[in-house]
Amino acid sequence: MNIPVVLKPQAGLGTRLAVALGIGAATLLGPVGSHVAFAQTAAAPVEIVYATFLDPNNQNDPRAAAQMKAIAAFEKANPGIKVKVQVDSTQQATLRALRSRSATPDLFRVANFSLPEFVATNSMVPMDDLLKRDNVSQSDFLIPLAAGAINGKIYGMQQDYRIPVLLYRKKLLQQVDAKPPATWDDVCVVGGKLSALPNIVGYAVPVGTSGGLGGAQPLAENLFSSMVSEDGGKYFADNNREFVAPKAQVIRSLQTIKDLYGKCKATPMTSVQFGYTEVHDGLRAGTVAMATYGLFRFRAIESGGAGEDLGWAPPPAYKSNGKQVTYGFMVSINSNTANREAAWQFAKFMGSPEGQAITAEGGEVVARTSVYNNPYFATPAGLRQKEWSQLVKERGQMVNYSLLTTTFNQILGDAIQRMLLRNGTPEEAYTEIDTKYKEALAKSP
Amino acid sequence: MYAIPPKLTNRTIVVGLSALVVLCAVGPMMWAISTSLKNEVDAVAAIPALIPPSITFANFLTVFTHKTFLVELFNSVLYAAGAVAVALAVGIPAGYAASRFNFPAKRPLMLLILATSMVPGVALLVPTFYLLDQLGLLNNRFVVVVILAARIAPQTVWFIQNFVDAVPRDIDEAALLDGASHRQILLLLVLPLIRPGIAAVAVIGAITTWNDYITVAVFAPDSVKRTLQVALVNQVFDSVGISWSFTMAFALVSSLPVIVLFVLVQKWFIAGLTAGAVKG
Repeated sequence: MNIPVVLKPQAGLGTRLAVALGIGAATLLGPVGSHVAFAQTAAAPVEIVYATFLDPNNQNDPRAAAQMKAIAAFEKANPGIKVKVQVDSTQQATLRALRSRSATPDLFRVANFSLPEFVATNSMVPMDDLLKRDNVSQSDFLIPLAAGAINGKIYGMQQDYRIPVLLYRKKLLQQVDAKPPATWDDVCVVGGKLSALPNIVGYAVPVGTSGGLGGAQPLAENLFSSMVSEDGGKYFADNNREFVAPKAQVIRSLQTIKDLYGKCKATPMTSVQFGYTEVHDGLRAGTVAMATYGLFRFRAIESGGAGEDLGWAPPPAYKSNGKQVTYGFMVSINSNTANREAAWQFAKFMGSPEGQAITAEGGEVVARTSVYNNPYFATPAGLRQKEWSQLVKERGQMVNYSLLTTTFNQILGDAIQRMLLRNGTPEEAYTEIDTKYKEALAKSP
Repeated sequence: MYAIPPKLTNRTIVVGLSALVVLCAVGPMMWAISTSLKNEVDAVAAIPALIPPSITFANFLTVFTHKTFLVELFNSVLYAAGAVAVALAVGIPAGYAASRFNFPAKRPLMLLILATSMVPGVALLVPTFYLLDQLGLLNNRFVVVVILAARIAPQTVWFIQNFVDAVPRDIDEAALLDGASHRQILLLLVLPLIRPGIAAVAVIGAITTWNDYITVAVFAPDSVKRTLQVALVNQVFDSVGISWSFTMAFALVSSLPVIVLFVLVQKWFIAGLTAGAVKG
């Protein structure tokens, strides 16, 4: 450090020490003081981190573009808050952060079926009081917000709903002179005809693990959960632990799956190892004629090879208007965040009619009922979403999920594969599912 | 009856088996190249074709013009080069010391260093995440470099020790007699002699860190800090389905830097690996 020239070389030690200390203090305090002064005159915006699987850099995903548009609209309306997107494809980074009580991400996108696992971290903000405080309508949703509550509390702002739909290739159904099936009995007949065509999977029943979060997720999500809860809506208990689907309905469902593979010949054995990826690519390529699948994949399959030949119909069930398990994504708040109010403002916006109108352009069936009067829903893509929203209202039902969802899906997939490959009985498969899941529950905290 | 000479039979078997091994190794790569040159529809066609019905380079163009490609490439190069540099900076002096000096608990210490590399990285994931989060060091490029360097440092120390062992001690003794310090001996005498070994260790370290996914995905989840590998895995988890032709093009482009590096240093790499084979 240079000593100022005003000091004479013969200045005493005490004087030199005092000057040095003074310079040191000024050096330290100066920037702090100026920072405080600046802060007082121009407050920096609060930055909140939002974890989502929608990657802003994914040019193939219109939902990501819609998300960024919504964020821009929010930031314009709230100049004091900046939203930074953190991509978390599998939700695992977020779960890890919640478990370790990290302050970021401030909020995150989470699926209804993952919610019990996330709530169990005790790092989520219940929104009931906030909803009441800000007079947010809880009924202007395709399915009332309370239906997705965990232990009687609402832990997220619902963004969208997904109900299984039947996706099919039109030309293949025309080839066998069939209409889209409405019941499982119809699937048996139509699927059998389609599977008789060369190199065609008539009706895909995916029991594999690829493309999802683990276990037989596509089976559980799109088929099994709806099959077992069609009458009565019971899947898992209110405490998100016990598997409470009625035994008779579970066995009936397992028998149906076995028949599709066996008696009906609607589903060739290759489908045993299908996961999300194989069904998606099969529908694209035209080697899978029909599948009960996620409606959010329609656009991608259409543009990825199926084109105008891809059709959709309400999903088959035991009764033609049988209830279907519906889930979606919510925006939830990390209770360890340092910016709770800012996070709430963003969550509230994303669930508001204004925010939902923007995200609807991404192709999801947004959660707010009032949004469906917007002009976008008169476009061909919007009309399809509106039809799906009607399906959600008429046939959708929310159920409780396990806090060990991935483990349950793994057990389910193993049991059904064993039943199919070793010609086991549905009763044996049920016993295996019940026993192994109880063992897993006993080991869980 | 014409009998096949035994030498011809042996040669045929050897060539046949070699061809099979080559096919198994090269086959997936050839399929990846083929898929990367197909459009979306041909990539999932019911009857797959090795030779694309119509060749397109659009996927490669999409990769190179993707808005995050350069950032991801920069991060991949930075983390790999940085980790190798740090590991060598630590490993070379440590390997030299392990080779040339005797000190108390030398063997247990070396075994401990080796043992640390046997701990699965996944086992340390959560505690490391917790530590970094508490210290506010997540999404920090320097920290990622340090973690990756720490992962390859043990093997670096051991390899360098072995390469230095192959250098005759006479050289050190002569230099010491001439008044050289150990630092001078290491930098001016030993280092030039073990260059092939350093190249080999550097290439192995670069390949290991270049292919790393979990470290960056967990400790630097920010989009601007991620590498080509993390971006590639995100393709697989794409919730609107995988674009196989784009993914294959991405995978091939991601592999190119390491392939180029290997081609450039392969002579040194092979020399380094075989340096200890003959002692004279």
